[in-house]
Amino acid sequence: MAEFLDQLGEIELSAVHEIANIGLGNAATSLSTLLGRTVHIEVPQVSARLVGALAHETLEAGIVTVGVLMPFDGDVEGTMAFFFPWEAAAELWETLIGAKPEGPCDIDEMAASVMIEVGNMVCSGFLNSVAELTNLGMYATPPAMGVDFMESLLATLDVEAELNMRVALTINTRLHGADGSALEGMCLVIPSQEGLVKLLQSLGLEVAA
Amino acid sequence: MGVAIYDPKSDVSGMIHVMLPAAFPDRPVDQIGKFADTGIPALLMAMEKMGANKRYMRVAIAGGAQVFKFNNTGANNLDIGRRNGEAVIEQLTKAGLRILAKDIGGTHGRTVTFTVPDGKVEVKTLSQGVAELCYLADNRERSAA
Repeated sequence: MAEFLDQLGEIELSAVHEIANIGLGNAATSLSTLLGRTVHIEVPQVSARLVGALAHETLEAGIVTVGVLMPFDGDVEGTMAFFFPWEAAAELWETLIGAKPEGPCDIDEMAASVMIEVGNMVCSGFLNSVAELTNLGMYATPPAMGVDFMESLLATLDVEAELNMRVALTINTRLHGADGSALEGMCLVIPSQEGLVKLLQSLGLEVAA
Repeated sequence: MGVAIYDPKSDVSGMIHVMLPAAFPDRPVDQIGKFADTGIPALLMAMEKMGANKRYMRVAIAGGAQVFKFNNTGANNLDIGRRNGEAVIEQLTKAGLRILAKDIGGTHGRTVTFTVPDGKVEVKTLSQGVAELCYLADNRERSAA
């Protein structure tokens, strides 16, 4: 695994950065349409690292967070996840269904399914555009949602990554509203090692799995 | 899942964070502490090296929640928490250890704090805040649940 990571230099990471930018731009458009207002998603950082310690390394430990986990499959498999701090999620719920849950422990089916739908839309938007760019087949599988402290949500991602060898790379993103501050959130894209190799190959970059 | 062990006779404490039930047979084990089947024996051995004795060890475990509880799939592989719990208990039982207190399963993630030398084990959750689970030093379980 460490040898694999060593192969991911500046060229490879910036290629992934570019693809992620385009994919998430598309996802942002989907989200904007859904919310009826502009949402920007930017990719400030793509890092090749061993997933498995996200929960221990997060700077957002202790922050109540709504997370949507979206595994994807196909030529490239992996996991995508969205995280909204509680206040931002509450705002999303207000916008979409005109009401928000009373608290993090009072999520009903309606609120959950709305948030899962947001995840679905964003994930599909991302995958479609990456698939189009690379000619690879990728599809979203049913998402799951949870509300907990950030570190607890990330611990699940660590386990998922570990189980499925999805330990290659994280694409950290930030999203915000048109005025720069309205909607705060974070997105992680964690492709499998094998999937990442295919992705890079489709761009003419050779790395060995 | 957090596993906290204390031997009051030798005053040796140990703790690990188990992520998965068992090491993968087809992959090198990079960190033995991650898996119940490698981590618990390794922890016990390390404690014994420091003078601890299994006969006196008291154990508290907490964790194994399914945090992403809302999903459309019904069946899912996110329920790894339950399997972690089973694997941890199996390993502890195999070693002949007594579990003084456990707080496992459910849908809320737990942060476990183990304080030495009093052996206080605390569990923090979103729904309950910080709650005392037990004192491993004086063999005392949490009085009020």
